[in-house]
Amino acid sequence: MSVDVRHEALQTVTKPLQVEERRQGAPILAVKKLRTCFDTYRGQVRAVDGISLSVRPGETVALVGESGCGKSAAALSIMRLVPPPGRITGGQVIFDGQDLLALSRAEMRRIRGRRIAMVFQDPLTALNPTLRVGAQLVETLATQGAARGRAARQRAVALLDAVGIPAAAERMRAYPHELSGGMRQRVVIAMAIAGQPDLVIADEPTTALDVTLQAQIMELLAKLKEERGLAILLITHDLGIVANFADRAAVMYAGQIVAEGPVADLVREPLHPYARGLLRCVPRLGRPDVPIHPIHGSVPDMVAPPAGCRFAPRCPEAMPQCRQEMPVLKRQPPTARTIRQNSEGESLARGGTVRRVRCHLHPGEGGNGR
Amino acid sequence: MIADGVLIEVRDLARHFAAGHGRVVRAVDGLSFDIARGETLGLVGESGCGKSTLGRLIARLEEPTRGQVLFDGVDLTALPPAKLRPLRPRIQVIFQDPYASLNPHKTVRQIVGLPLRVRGGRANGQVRERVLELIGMVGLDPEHAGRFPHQFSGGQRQRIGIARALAAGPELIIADEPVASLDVSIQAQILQVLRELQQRLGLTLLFISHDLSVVSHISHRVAVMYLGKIVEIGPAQSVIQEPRHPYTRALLAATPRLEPGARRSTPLAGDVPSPMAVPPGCRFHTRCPLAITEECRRTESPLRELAPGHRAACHLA
Amino acid sequence: MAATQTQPVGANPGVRPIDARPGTLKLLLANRVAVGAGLVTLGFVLVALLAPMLSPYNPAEQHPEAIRVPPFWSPGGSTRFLLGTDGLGRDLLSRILFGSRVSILLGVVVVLLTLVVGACLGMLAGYYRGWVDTLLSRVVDTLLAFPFLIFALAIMAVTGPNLVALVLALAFKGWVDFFRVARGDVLAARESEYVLAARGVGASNAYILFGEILPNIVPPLIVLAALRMATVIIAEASLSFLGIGVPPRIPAWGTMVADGRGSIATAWWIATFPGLAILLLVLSVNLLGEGLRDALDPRMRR
Repeated sequence: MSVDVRHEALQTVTKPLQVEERRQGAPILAVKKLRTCFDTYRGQVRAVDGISLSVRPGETVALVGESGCGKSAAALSIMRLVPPPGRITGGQVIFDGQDLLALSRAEMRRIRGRRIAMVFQDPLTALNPTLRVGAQLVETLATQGAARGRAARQRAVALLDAVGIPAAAERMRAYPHELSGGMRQRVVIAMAIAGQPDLVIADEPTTALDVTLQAQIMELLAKLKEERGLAILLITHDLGIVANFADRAAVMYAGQIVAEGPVADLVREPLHPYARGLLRCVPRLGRPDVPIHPIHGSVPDMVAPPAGCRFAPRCPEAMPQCRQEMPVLKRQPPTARTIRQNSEGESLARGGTVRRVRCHLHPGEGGNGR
Repeated sequence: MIADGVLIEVRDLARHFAAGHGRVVRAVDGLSFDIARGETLGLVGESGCGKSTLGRLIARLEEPTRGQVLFDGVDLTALPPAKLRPLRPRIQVIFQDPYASLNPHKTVRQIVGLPLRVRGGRANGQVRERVLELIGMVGLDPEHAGRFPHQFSGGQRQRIGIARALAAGPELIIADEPVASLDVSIQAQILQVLRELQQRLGLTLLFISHDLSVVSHISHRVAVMYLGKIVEIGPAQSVIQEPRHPYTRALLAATPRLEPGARRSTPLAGDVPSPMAVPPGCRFHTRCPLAITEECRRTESPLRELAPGHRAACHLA
Repeated sequence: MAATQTQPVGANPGVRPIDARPGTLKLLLANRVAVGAGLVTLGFVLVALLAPMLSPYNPAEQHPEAIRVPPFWSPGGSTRFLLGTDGLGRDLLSRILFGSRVSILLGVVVVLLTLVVGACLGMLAGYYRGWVDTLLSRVVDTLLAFPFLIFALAIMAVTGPNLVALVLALAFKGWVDFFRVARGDVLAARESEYVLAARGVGASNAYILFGEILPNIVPPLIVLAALRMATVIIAEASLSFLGIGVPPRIPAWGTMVADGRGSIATAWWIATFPGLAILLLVLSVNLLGEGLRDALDPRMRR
């Protein structure tokens, strides 16, 4: 294949023109009061308990939390892929103006892969071990009606090239097990963007990878976001990745979003005690003067969550009110720091200015609870 | 803080596996270092670099291909099994997987009590009492003694693993990725427990992890492993602040930091070569961002002292 | 070195019980098929134990006046012989009740024998590997290539029908399954971290094998034992049917089916009722085994 042909193919893959205009637009994804329950032997677990969040084109929103907080269940709920005994019990998932929860199964299948793609933690289980990666990519393109035959092969090579796989044409013939972990995750990402989706949901995309590869993969996702105006919903437990690669973040605890806002605000000035606690757990590289402080206790039993604020039993600042009354997620007034930052224009560029917190210590600006 | 004297001396230790078709995996490929009594040595490296194998070799849970491990002056690799067994309690391992490392059919009392019963010299009542004391030391309730491992969360199970290690009355604890599978808030709890116990009991700790932040937090000294060799070793602050080996620098650059928008420059291209095909010369030269020389391709640099107690294996450092 | 703010190490980390999985027994009892199969199996065991009390007649007693009497509900039948009589005028019900003894006894003896032999050899091979493993695995491969029926025919032809020879014939290959399960599970367990930990505190090989590993391989062995029991009962019935199993003086279902085979068109009941007994017992033992497997399989637990 000549270099020219490949370039041409690559041009059709990227859509540089609309990127700017898309980034300005309304959210491509708006989740509203989404609820998902799992029925277990011991009772009902409300894994996702009324979460709301939105993602704009060209924006990376991180859904961050510890294991069991419901972040993966939330991602699967958005894709309507919750495995039984789980089921979505309420709310809306507005994607590009239509409620995904109201679509028929056939309509939903057309959305998956083409308009919303997923990247999972383990690239090995996401690929068919018996097929060459080229064949899998061509097959993906064909099912999505994007291209067939020779054109599909050219597109596949261009995609592998675009995700940074060296000697892409030769790697088409490789089986997944012949590739390293980092290369496999690149192939998975190539398959995810093959349908030119508007939204990519990445569920712990680098957790199985070493740090040097982790950096490469996150750089790749960031590049694709910039170039194509992709919206990325990043599910992760790693605050370092959130700080380095997300624009906005929503912190989940026990099925609920407890804090949401621009990443800079979350990392520099966390308002919610849980967010603050999480940050204080992370050892800082090369800062032996910064001690780590564990959060005592463990996540609550989700069959019988505590009354009031779900974090109250572990919260060092809990007041009597916290144990009785569930706080709502409320918009917070600007602080001295955010005002200064906004005047410098940083916040506007990354993640906007609005921050919400679910905490009695921060009563917020009144009725904006979601 | 560090008591005098060397507890562990590793000399030219190697472990090679046969991988079929005449190929050999050089998991640990001839390395030497010491650990002082009361010291925490952090061992950091990416998956497949041989750090876990090294930990098991020191505990002699695996047999080395060559080399020696001197524990308090005794060469463990030369001891027959009968002579080794009484020494075993003095070296304990805390494993990465808090699910696989506890026997699912045993209660906490049985698990933590095993080392006590093996050592002997205690009546049943004394064993029970000591077990309760130990599980209290790691922050579990005495009422949990009768429960089975599956009734605990990951962090709690890791505490049980620590209590079992302490029950043996060890001088050296090898912690093999003890927090890798835990959430960050639980990770902080376990790190705290390990540190305080180490200080209180004067333990020597070999802390193995892939996470440079965690290692630098808990260790006095840090050793960086790449493809079966130590490429840099020195005081934690010195290694983190002034890394001499380009691989250490790449690891540092790739480690996420809690600074918003601090986009890391892509540190290293490509993947770690297979330990079945270790490159000739400097084993890092295929990925090295420095201008490599003919010497790099041909000969392997020994660990050279570049600052007090700080050594790196690089021709260009 | 970084300083951690001091917190008592003994601070209670907020332990909560997370045991959401019901126990094995509870899962087994929730499985209606398994419970039913268990009850039927239990019924057969009770019948075997109480056969002399339950049987209306001595199973060997011949009633020359009542040859091939049909069951009581058929025309010509009588409530004297509820399930009718065979060609020698023996009461079929009594013979079936007594026939359960030989099936169950042989099943239990053969399974226990093969379980102990197979599991012990399998554990040794899996734990010590080396030449022990190589040797035993070769023996097993050879046995697997050996046709069971021909071996049984040969042994019974030499010794004539007797119970000891029958047990040996049935056990000859039966231990192989236990060997393979035990060996495989021990191989996996010996590399596990909890075994490394036990070795690391200086525990002996004997303690590790029997104290740490054995409890973990017992559940699959129990399941296998239940499933093997069904196979052994079928094999015993088959050999008896061929006339090379249980000695003719002992009532056995396989022999009874063979006896009734010639007159199936005229006296269907003679072969049918013992056949049904075999079917029912084997089916319920099998279903019980499968129920046990499901209950013990951790993947079935959420």
